[in-house]
Amino acid sequence: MNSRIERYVWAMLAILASMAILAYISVHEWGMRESMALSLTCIMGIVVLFGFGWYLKERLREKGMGIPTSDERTVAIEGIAFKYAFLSSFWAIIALAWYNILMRYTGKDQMPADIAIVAALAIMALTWVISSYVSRKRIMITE
Amino acid sequence: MKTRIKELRAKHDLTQEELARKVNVRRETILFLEKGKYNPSLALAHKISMVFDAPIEDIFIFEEEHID
Repeated sequence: MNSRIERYVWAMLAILASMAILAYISVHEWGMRESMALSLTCIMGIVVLFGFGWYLKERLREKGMGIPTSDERTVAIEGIAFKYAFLSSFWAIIALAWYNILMRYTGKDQMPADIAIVAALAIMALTWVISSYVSRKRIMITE
Repeated sequence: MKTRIKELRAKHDLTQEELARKVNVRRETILFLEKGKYNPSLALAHKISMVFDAPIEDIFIFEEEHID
């Protein structure tokens, strides 16, 4: 199958799965807030699942064709992405810790630990995705 | 850095993918090398020079300001 058509099929399947989830949520009489949270979580899960599935399929296809799945350039890209993801989450954790310390001493509500952990992980994942993409596409790698 | 990979590839009638297979890297790496957007390791430069049967300095041309 043509690679572009294949990509459209995968995207359509992801959209259909998201619509099925939305339909399932809409028939239940959950509150607005719960429905929104559940819908967003499920859609994010579907995007991640399909994205990972596509990535895995492509890597397996390339492996079957004898193309190396990783070479010195991809290792360099991963290294750069890891460095930025680590640094961004490190500073995010410090910022969140300072925020909570500030809230404690001003007598306001602190951010719950689970939300702070998820926020730091989300920043790490987002930085990793963005820096991988930017390194892969644009920036000259000299490291 | 400039490279003569594209020119030598045409001379040896090789596609980017064929060259990539010969030196065991991904096609994108060859693409970025040709654009001068990736500095290869010495090992990769050596492999490429072996494929084209040419010295490394004839394939990869460093401009004076990039040598420092």
